[in-house]
Amino acid sequence: MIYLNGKEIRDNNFKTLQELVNSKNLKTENVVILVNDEIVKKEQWQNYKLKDNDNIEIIGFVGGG
Amino acid sequence: MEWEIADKKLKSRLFIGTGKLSTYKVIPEIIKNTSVEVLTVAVRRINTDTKIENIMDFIPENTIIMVNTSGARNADEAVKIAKIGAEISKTKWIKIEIEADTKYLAPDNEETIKATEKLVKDGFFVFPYITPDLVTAKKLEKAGATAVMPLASFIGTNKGITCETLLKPIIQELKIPVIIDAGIGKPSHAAKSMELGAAAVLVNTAIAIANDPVRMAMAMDMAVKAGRIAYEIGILAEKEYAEASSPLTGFLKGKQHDL
Repeated sequence: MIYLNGKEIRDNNFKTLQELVNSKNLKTENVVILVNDEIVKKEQWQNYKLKDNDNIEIIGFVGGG
Repeated sequence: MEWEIADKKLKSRLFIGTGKLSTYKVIPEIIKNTSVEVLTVAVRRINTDTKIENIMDFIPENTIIMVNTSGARNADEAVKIAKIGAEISKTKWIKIEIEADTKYLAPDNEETIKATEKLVKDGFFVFPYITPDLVTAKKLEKAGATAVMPLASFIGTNKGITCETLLKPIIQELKIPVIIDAGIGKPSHAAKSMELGAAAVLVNTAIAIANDPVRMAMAMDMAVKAGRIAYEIGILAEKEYAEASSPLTGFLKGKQHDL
């Protein structure tokens, strides 16, 4: 099971992080992805093979003071 | 008039926070109608399932983004958030906001000093948000902070400057810029901050929850400019007794005036 922003991902047909990102239709220059608390740089998304218990966080900017 | 801070030359001394906005659509309008160049943002998980507006689609290019570390409860978390934020923003400007208290959102000055030391070493331009404590401010200056950001009053309280006695020494003693941040509720608060000698002010709530955020931002912009002009040319001393503004001679004919 892999987790995205704290929730289980049911349809886990994604082999790499890049495949997961592609399915989300994001503007990739405006997000940072952490896997297991470590930043995975954009250039590495296609190389990163997802494995069981991976905890993925997609992070970006929101309004703040 | 331009002024320099961190790695930028700015025309404006008003920084605006983007929290609590009912819509991000006001952001480009605020930038268009004021001289504002710096906005703060927070770092959070992005909901990828629903179509929610992304703030980055509303922030004009060339806007200087200052990432805040709100959500951090200690120095390590602040450093982590800063590094994540810096991956997206094109600046290395970080507002350190470390709050251990949820009622007053009072900043943790001690953890803020630790976070500043670490982030300065990593090449960030650090703008720490603090309660107005001169000792903390001096430690931050020594640690290499770009500026210090003492509060006027607690976030969202709109009370303006409630601790002038604590703010003035910080402005007088520090060589780095002092940016008054939090609690500015009215344009007169912003003007007063500048009259005291602050280098800039950061306003969020007063603009975000105003009936007309764009017009409030314009009002704050004018107030900051007005306060700064007065500070630069010299604020006049207060006096105890009246001194006539109109001449004391040449009165109209009629009853004699005994002066």
